[in-house]
Parts: sequence; structure tokens; C-alpha cells
Amino acid sequence: MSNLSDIYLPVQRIIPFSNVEGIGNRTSIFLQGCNLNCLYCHNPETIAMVSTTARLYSLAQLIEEIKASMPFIRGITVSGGEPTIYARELTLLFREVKKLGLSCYLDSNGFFPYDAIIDLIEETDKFLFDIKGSGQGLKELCFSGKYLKTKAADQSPQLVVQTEGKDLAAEPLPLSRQSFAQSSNPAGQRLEGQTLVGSESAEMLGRNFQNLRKLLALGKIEEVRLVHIKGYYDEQATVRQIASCLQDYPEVLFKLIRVHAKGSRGAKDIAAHLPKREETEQLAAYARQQGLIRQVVIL
Amino acid sequence: MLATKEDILQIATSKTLTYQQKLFSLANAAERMISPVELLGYTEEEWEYIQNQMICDLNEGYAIYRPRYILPDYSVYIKNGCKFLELPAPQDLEECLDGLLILYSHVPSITSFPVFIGHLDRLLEPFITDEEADFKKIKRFLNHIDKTITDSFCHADIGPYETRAGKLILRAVIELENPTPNMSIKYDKNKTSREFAELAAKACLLVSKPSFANDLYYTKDLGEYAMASCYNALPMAGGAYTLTRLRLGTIAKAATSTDDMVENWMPKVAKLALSTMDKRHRFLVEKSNYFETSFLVKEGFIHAHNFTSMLAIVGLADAVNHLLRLEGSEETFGMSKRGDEIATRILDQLEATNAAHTGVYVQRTNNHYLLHAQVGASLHEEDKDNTPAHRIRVGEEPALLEHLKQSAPFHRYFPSGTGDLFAFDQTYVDHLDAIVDIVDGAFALNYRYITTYLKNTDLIRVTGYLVKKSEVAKARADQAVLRDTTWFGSGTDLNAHVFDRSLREQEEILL
Repeated sequence: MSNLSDIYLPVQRIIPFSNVEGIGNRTSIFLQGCNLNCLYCHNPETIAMVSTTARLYSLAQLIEEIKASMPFIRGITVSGGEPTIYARELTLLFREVKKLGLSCYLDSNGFFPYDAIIDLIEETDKFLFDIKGSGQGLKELCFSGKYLKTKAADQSPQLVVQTEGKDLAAEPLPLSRQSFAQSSNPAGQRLEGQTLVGSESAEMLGRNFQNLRKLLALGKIEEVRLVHIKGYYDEQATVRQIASCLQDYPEVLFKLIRVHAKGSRGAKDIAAHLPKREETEQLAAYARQQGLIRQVVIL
Repeated sequence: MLATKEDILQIATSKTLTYQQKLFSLANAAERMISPVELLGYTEEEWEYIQNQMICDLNEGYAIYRPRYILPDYSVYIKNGCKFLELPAPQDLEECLDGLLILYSHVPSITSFPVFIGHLDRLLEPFITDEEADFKKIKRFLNHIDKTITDSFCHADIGPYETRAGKLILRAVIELENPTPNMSIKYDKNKTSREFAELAAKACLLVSKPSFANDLYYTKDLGEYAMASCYNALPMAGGAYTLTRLRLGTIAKAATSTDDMVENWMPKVAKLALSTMDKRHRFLVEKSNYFETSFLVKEGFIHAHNFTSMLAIVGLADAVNHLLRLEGSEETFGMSKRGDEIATRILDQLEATNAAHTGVYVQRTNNHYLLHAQVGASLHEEDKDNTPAHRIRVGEEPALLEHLKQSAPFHRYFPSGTGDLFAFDQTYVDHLDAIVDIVDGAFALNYRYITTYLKNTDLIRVTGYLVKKSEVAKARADQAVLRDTTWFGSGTDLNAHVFDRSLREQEEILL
């Protein structure tokens, strides 16, 4: 099981030097597959579990890619997609990467089953935590199948990925997919091919904030992000909720990003919900009032 | 190159030179009126290899009357004042700044302007009392330098330690956006605070200075040193008598194979250059009386025994590309493993030839001259075929990571300086931590010197010095411009397209 050459991850792309995924210069790895389907997603090609543009890398190959960027990087950030759906593979990867003296970050939407990925959380130095919002509006914003081009459910459970002459049908299922398939979390449901809409309880929609609080207590949050879009969640209430979580953690950065339609699939739908620059600036000011002093605003 | 009466007349009647530029150009022409064969005892063969452009003496002149680069220890003034200039030791910041400006006008060099103006932060720190008031004075002082030392080879050093003065200097250079002075931060991650390093990185992006010098590495090689001119690392309280360049791109054109280049041409031309350097040193030390007459020597600002000299290269990329063609390869230096092997053989040979030569009057550097990777110049048509230093030709650069790794192994050959430079996009201004990580990585791979700038700024680093693109445009429209370095920048851009150096973009993926 621990042979790093035999464990694979589907990778959409690797950026050897990235300055925006956590502090310092980092190698960013974007995995294929997400448990959400956000209207404004700017990497929509990473959402489907199945993609013709992804490539399987063994953990050993990934470590070689990471080593190639040394000594210019201080760590790696795994993003996606939603990286936590590959918790078991990433736990093994992070253990190896840490032996190189590098830090390991995860860029997550926070909708993960905390207890099921506890090993990965232990190995993760910091999370870049993307709060999608709060309340029932998230069902449409992030859990709708409206813009899903590829229906994972219709595909064979094997990943369809480009490789260099390797017969992927012979490859074992990623470990985490097996484990998630047996759990009752959104990722698992996606993987089972069930529709997400209508199956979310209020409890499940609040899971991101629950996870945020737990990770803050462990000192594992570097930044909390909020994409500002109108009409799907109560903006001020969401900011207050974030501020309440962060009140004892002034070192955590709050990053407010004004949604923009370019590059996403729902351009027309987003246009109707696009905040004006001033509105995002006002929300940033409101966030400051609520105590979110350390902030970056991207207009 | 010898000067002629026509040159004199052309300078005197120029429509584009300022008065001061004419004066200095006339002085330089005068130095080149007497043949070095006659005056310095160059052999006909040595002179032939200067004439055929394989050796370039940068028009230093033959009636030599001062060292090329002088690096005074200005702390002598802080401690003792200056008797020759009748300046008492300074008691406050204003006296200190005033005294330094006076001293600068008495420090000669090949350009007649000082190429080193001190470890400014160390000199000023004892006089800092009120940061806001002192900031204004420091900013005025730096602006004065830019407008009176009209040549951006003038270089100031800061670091490695964070000081109040150092931070005020960086704040001022960011606000001023001036080409002069050029600046280096001596950086050692175990001595320099992260905050100071990031402030320096910010200034480097916004106003293309300071560059980062690997303090640990240079100290190991040179002992007490300073960065002067472009990025010349030289002994403190001393300097360099001369800098003589080998145009590797030109030499390679004569070679019939890589072996011929490495085994025959490199040692032959290098030896000829080294022997001309010996002769220049003898004239300067034994006949010019510079060291007998300068108050800088008498009062201990400099010592004759702290001088050395630089044997420099340009055109490694062009030489390697030519040899790759001879080997039947279409690859280019920078993206060719074989190219790197050829480059390494050329430099190993040069290093060995230099090490086998006993230099004249250079006991400070163990009786050897120091190799230097020169930033390029446009003195002759041949300079088009001689890319600066060991740099990759603009337009043939690999991605940033590969570029850093490719260039790092060549830094070790050049104890008197080399450096590479990378243009970054705007996103890095908000991620200075990432820039310092890249510097740390480069130094971990034994980079000596690295610099960055934002591509979209007016003030840019041509190769080793700064010019304003707007001023280059004026010079190209035949208008007189303040700084001589503007002409050099214009010429180097025409030859090497350095304004188009590859931009390092950050693919920004936030969501």
C-alpha cells in the first residue's frame, strides 16, 4: 500500500512557482474532481471526476515534480477540484513531502467529513479555506448540477485520464474514492452518482463552518476566502459568521474576492448577481467593522 | 581603439552631448591618442587581438591616470573627517550627508564619477535621530546624487543588517524612481531580517533596485568587499585597476570545433588579454603617480595593496550557439544540456588559464586577477554577437525555474561579479515573500547576485545598470539627455533586445 509508485492521483495541472496559494513561493498541484459545482468556478475543468485533460501521477512522480522546484519553494499547496476527496493519497504524499523540509497546504471548500480525513488534517500545515457562503442558497450556488457538463454518474468508475501509454483500466481505484463511496458525505454521494440537489440538510450545509472552527482551534488556518456574489447568501450575515469564527485568530487573513464572470461557465447567470465594485468595498468595510482587520480585497 | 583628431572634432561639435559629456568624452579621447604599443609596450600580437575585437579594452585608454573602479572606505571620513578637503568629522546627519556629497566629487573612476558611494545605511545610521525629518534629508541627498552624478554606474550598498537608515533609504528610492545610484543589498538570510528583505524586494520590483548580493559567498571569496558599478564585487578600500573583456562570441567564430575553441583559442586569447592587463597595471602603479598624489591614499580611504583587476567575458551564449552549430545541433544555449557542457568546458579552461597567470600588483587577490561576467556594451558591431555575461539570449530563455537552475552553476566562476535578472509581473508586488523565497533558493544554489524588476515600469535595468525608457526614447530622437548610461542602455537594447526580456507571469488561480 505504501509503495509510492503504485498510488495515483489525477492531476489537472502543476504550477512549479505560485505566489497566490499561501504564503511564499509554492508548488501548486491542482487535482481533478470536486464535490461541489459552484456557479462561478474559475477552474471548471477540474470539477468532473472524469476528464480527458487530467493525467494520473503516481505519488513518486509528484514528489519528483516537487523536488524539481527545490530550493526555490517553501512548500506545496494542493488544490483542485477539492483535494480532501483524495485524503488517503494526500496523507501519504504529505508525509513524504514533509521529509523534504517543505510545508503542506490544502486549498479546500470545507465540505469534508472531518473525522474521516483526520489523518490528512494532522499532516496538513495550513488550510486555505474557501467559505462559499451560508444558508439554503448554497444549494443552487454550489450544489446544483445546472452547469455540470460531464455527469460523473454516467461514467465508468475508472478515471479517464491521459497518460503516456499506460492502460488505466488496469490501475486500482484511488484509495479515497473507495472510502468516500462508503461514507455519507457530499463527495461520496457525488461519487456514487447520486444527485446532490435536495439531499442537503441544514446540518450538512453548515459543515464548512463547523470544520473551520475545528481547524482554527488547531492553528491550521492561514486564510479564509469569500467570493462575493449577490443573491445566494446573506452577505453581511456570512461576514459576521466568519468574523465570529476568526475573532480569536487575528493572524488569519480574510480574503474577499469580487466574483467575475470571465472564465466561468455561468457567465450570463453571474452577470445578474455581480456586485458593483463599491458594493464589494462596502462589504470589506463591514468586515473590518466586524473585526476582520487583516484582509485583502480583490476587486 | 585609438582616437583621432576627427573624433575630437566630432565630440566638440556634437548636437546631442551636454557640456559635461563633451568634456569627459574629450578626456577619454585624449587618453587614446597615444598607441599602447608605444606607451605601454603592448606587443603587435596583443594589439592585433584588440583590433580584431576578440579582446575589448572598453576604450579605457592608454595614458592611464587612475584606476577604473575605486571603492573608498567612507567610514574614514565619519571617523576622521578629511584633511585634504578641510572637512571635520561630521557631528550630525546634515554634516554627514553634505560631507559625503563633497567627497563623491573627488572620487575618480573610469567614468570620472564615483562608482561606489559607500555602505550608506552603515554610514548614516549613527546620525538618525528623528525618522521623519531624517527621511526628508536622505531623500534630498539621494536626489542630489541622481542629478549630479549623471551616470548610473554609481553604486550604493546597504545591508546585510536591518537598520533605520536602511529602511529610510529604501523608502526614499521607491519615492524618487531615479536611475542613480544603482544599489545592492548585501543579503544573508541569517543576518538580514525577513522584513528588511521584503522591503528590499518591493523596491527592487518597483524601482529595479536594490539587487540582492550573496553576502556569505562574496565574503568567503573576497573578505571585505563592496558592490560597485554594475555588480562588480571588489575589495573594500581598494578596487580594480582595469576591466578587460573577452568577446567569446567573436572568438568562437574563428574556432573550427569545440575542442579548437577550448584547447587553442581560449588559452591563447586569454593569455594575450592577461599580459595587456599586466602592462596597464605597471603604467598605472609605476608611472601615473596616482597613488602618490591622491588624498584618498594619504588619508587611508584606499590602499594601493587593495587593488585587483577583472578579466571579463561576454558572449558565452553566442559562442556556445556557434559551437553547437558546428556540432550539427540546432539547440540553443539555455535549453541545451550539450550547450551547458560546452559552456562549462570554456569557463573551466578560462579559469585554469587565469589561475596559471601570476598577476602584477594584485597581492590582495593572491596575485591573480578575478574573473568577471560583464554586462555588455555596444562599442562595436561585434557586440551584437556577444550577449552579456553568461546570460541566455533574450527570446531563448526557458521558464523561470529552468532558467534559475541553468544559470546557477556558472556563477561560481566569477568572484568579481555576475548576476542574472528576471522581469516579474505586477502580482508579485503583493507577494514579496515569494520573491524572497526565490532569492533564497537562488543563493542556496550558489547564485552570487540576482535582481528583478517589473516589466511595465519606466525605470528598468538594462543589464547591470538602470535607465529610464522615456529617456532612451529622447536619446534616440537625437536629443541631449542627462545621463551617459542612457546611450549605453539604448545601444545594448538595440543589440540584445533587453527591453523585451521574458516576463515571468504568475498564473493567477484564486478560485
